[in-house]
Amino acid sequence: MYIFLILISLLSFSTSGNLEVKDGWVRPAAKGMNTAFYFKVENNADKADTLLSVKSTIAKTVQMHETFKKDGMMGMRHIDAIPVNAKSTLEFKPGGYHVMVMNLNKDLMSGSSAEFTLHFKYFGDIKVNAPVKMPGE
Amino acid sequence: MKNLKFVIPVAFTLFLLIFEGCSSKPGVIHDLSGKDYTLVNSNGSVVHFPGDYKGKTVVLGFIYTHCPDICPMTTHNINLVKKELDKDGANDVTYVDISFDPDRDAPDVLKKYAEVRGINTDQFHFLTGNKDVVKSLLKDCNIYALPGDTTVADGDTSYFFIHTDRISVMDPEGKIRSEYKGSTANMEELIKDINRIR
Repeated sequence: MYIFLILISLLSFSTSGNLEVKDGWVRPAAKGMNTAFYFKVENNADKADTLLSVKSTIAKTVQMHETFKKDGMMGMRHIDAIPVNAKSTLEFKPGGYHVMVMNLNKDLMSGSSAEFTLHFKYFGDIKVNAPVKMPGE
Repeated sequence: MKNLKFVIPVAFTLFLLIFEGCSSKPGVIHDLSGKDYTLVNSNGSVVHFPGDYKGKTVVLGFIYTHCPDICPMTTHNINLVKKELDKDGANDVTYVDISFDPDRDAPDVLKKYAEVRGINTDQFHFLTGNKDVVKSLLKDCNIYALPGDTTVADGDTSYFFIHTDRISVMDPEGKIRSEYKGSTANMEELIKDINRIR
């Protein structure tokens, strides 16, 4: 099991030239429900890029969202594109940017994995195989 | 010697303040002890809240299962507290998530929400109920949940809430005595307060 998780973690590190997507993970959720995909984008290039979309076949709809705080309450809004500055790291994390994975095709259980394709304006597509886990696992 | 006349009362007052701060229960924020909300748990059984929990300290979260980001953190944090207090054999503490989306969160939906997270619903309860009853409970706990962002994709519409992010601790008499941001609650502080309240 541990070897499997290590392999999945290694697979969740994807690279394309000077732009890397790492530490991807997805929260467990039931079929028909929603979950979130989190990761880091490290742009080591001198040129800024833009994350235009994220796709996956594990759910009916996949969108980039942002959690926000308003009047002491929490909400979410859809984001079309997110800039990734040169020589910087963009983090998708709980309570911030996240990829909304809506209407799952199947149960997503801890220990499994899910594949996503991140589409960048200049670097093109980067595939990520993210482990399904609870935070801190 | 003269100084002692001042030092002793000051030291005694400081001792009382420190003792009070460390051991006494926090004040009452919301008193639910006289209320009776008829809800239903994830097994479909009727639950009278908070009466059925009398004698137990309740760690209480407010969630909806379609939430992908904030509410799962609230549930996760309560489960972390549970795991920690279980080590101490804290049988007088119980754990409850109440849905503020009763239209979609039917008992079987709550059951599945718990199941995929490896949560035993005999020990961590998930409650839903009649919309008006839930609304009344939320009002009494000062919880807001307003349908907000609506996402339309491939002809499907899905709504999400703008909502309060909350974990509360209710004493064995049904009085809420402490509140925290559910998704980012400090575990040490929460456990320390539970031990003061129970």
